[in-house]
Amino acid sequence: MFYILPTFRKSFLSDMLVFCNDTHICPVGSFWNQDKGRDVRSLHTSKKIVILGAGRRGLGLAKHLIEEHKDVVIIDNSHERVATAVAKLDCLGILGNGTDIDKLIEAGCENAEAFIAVTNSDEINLVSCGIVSSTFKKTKTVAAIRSLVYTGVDGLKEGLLGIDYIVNPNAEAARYIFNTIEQGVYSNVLGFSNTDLLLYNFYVEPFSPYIGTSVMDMRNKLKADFVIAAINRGHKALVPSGSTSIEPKDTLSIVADSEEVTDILKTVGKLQKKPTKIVLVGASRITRALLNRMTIAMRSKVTVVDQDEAVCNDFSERFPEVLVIKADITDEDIMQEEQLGSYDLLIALTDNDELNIITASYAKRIGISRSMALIRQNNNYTRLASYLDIDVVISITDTTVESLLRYLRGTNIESLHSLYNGQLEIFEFSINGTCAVLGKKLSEINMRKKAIVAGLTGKSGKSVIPTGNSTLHEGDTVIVAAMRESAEFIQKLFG
Amino acid sequence: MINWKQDFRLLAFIQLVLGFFMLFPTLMAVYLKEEAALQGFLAAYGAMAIFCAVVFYLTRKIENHTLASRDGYLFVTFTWIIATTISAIPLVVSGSYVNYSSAFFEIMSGFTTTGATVLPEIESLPKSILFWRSETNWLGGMGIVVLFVALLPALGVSGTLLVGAESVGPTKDKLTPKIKTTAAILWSIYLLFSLLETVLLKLGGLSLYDAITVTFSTMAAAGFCVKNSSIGSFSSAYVDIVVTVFMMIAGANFALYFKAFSGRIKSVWKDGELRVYLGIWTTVSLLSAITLNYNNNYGSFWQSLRFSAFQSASIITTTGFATANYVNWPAFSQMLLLLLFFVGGCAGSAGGGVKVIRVATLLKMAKANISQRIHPKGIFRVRVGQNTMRPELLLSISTFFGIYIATGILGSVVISLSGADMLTSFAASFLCLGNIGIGFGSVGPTGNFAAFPSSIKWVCSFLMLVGRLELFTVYALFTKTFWKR
Repeated sequence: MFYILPTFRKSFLSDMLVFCNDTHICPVGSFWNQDKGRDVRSLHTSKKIVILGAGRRGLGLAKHLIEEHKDVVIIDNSHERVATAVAKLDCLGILGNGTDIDKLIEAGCENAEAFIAVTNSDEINLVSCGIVSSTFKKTKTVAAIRSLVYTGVDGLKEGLLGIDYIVNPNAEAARYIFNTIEQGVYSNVLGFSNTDLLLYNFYVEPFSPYIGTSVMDMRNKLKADFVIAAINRGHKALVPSGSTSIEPKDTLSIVADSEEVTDILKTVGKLQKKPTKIVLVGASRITRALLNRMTIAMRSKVTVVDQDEAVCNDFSERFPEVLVIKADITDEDIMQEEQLGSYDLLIALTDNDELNIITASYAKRIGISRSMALIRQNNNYTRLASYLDIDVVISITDTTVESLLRYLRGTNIESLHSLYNGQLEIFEFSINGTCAVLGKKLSEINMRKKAIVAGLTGKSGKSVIPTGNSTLHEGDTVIVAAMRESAEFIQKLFG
Repeated sequence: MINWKQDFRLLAFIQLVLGFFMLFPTLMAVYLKEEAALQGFLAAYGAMAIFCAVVFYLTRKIENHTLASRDGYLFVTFTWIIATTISAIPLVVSGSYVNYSSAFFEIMSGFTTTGATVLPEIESLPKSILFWRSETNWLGGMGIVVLFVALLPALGVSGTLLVGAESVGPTKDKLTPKIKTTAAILWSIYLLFSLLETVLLKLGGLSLYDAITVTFSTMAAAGFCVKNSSIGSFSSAYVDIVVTVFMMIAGANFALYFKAFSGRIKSVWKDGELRVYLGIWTTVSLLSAITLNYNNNYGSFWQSLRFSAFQSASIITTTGFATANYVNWPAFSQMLLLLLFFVGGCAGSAGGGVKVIRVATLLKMAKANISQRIHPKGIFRVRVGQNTMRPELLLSISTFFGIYIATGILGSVVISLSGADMLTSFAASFLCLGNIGIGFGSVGPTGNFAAFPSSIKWVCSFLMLVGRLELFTVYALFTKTFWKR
């Protein structure tokens, strides 16, 4: 067993993520990869992936994998779901039970690179992965399991039923939320594993003095060393050139070191401080996983509101430093009585999507500076949320899918983040001896205007903001922002 | 219903255990040719034999029932009363004590690990009698019934019940799946520490007899001493330190030693009660030492600390040894000691009193109650260390404290009938109830209970018993429910 991201413990930043009002979220973290010595990269040669469960997670995952030119086979026991999957996606659908070995053979598990069980039932996921990993030794198995809340995946170092990777949807969502809080909810800092450069996303306010100026001019005016790696305009992401001009309501992704960024943020966008006084609505498993991630000092400024007495008692026992309130959040009195308006951040984590959206939106009306809402079922609410002034929407499906994709993609890429609904990916490559671009100047590399090298860290660990004259040496680490459609080309170029 | 026959049969068995332990002072009396004392022990054996014979005859046809919880209360209370009744015989018959009330008081004080005495002059007594007196301390420290459960064939579930009714603290920990093993482990740890202390005291220059009797009283957190002026008569800093350390050991939860011995040191260190216990002791010792030093009672700070640490440990663990006449200390230092009267040892220890865990819980309850007023809809669970206290436990703890204080105050009212002054009445009542043994006024470190009339001695004996068995076990016997349904 080894860490795919070996520096996770060393650099917390590698676990950071990114978010803007309408951007897509992608946490990047580390996980135990029980790889049994198989070459993870061979995924790119063998193309078949079997997905069990055509629910939201299954379909979301399939969609991404198909975009990456994989052959996807979906198994589900509901005729309707299989039909929907086949109609919406370019994949093969098989109607049947995931614990039925004949169906697994029919789906071609034997030659598949991976078998991913993402049904809503832990038991089915476990059993089917158990069958696959013991019958088809070469097939990698991945299962979504919720019941690992107490120990977490890391708690099971010996593995479970030979399953290669276990994703816990609740823990993934909690990790995402935690990292978002750590980043101040908007300021959206993204860290990398081998370089101390950071990627900041921020929103250009309508009256910013830089509106209309080109990227080049802005850089000259600010006299700061940074690269604008990407711009999100409306709902479309683009990789800017020097002449691209800045427009209001753009979201800029800037790579710089932390000292430079403070200056930039002051003049261009809003500078946010980290929220400390937090109210969590709904005492769910995600809430618990989130509180587990926090330190005692952080928890002592957290309030949890839930209407179930037994759950409240349990939370109060488990987290004595947290203030637990037994009340209905829709009750106007509770907002006044507990002065919820004075909090920095409200996170709505109940089981009810609509309630989460409404609560998070209402929170802004009563004066809470920022709010987040969890979406379990209906991903469409993500769009709606930005109109309701909700700062961050967490989709439990998306965070799970991202975690699975990270596992499946595992290459020599040190860390990978996707931005703006997956339109754009940020890679961190280490340049090895056989790399195609080794020894070249950046200006000599043809990236077809679909990518930009945003940062460069030498072997010694010294980071620079690259110019056209920077040369790539062996052992360097580069940060590259690339559009999704050219991701594979960029990976070949640097990988 | 109550299994009278079975309970009494078990009681008779307990007398056998007691009889075995009385062998040591008896043999000592033979060896030292203390005839009066020997007569006393033989009389006690006689009484024991009659009791057992009668009981075994009456209970010869017996059906085995599982004991119910009321059997536990009845059995434990009667064990202590009958054991004291018989063990007091040698003291009177040997002529060392003027009357049976005094002897009963003395032995009750011994078994309940109180350590209060009716004798102004101790050293002139036969050595075997003094040895027996100290030995009752040691037997009562870990509990007669616990010892019984550890030694005799498995009692099964009933054993848990009996140990539960006797051991101290609001919650009862079972260390191992079987109660017999748990009881055996507790006694082994107790024995181990006792041996260790005896050796250390012997190295400090004490005679074997002194070392053993001091150990008996230290490990039981009891406080009898074969010297007139308690531990102070050895006037050795080494002895003071050893005794202080072992008093503190005796006052902590013995379950923790088991955990420590089985390698779970971390969980011991995280134990909330232990931390509070050590915290209180350290704070009081230091504050008292600073006061004494400022007042220049002992010349140097370290001397002050030696005496204050010893005295604080003695009171908090409810041992009741004295190395100094603290009645002459500044009022602040005395008040600190008075404060410790209402703390006591830890749950599952040899100490008595209210118990640290209860005091800590009460304080946490107060905090939770205040928070509740600020956040009416908040949920506040009371936690001590790593443990959350269940609501029914909180109720039982606050009830305990209420009844404890009420008993103590009523006790002082009754004691004041003897004509003792207010401070003495108050101290006498609470030192008996808390099994402490020394107090203030004329029952201070140099005082004794000799001046009290017989009737008051019986009242005090009752208070000691009630305090040792933590109120409910004894008080249950005084309720209608206990006897009717």
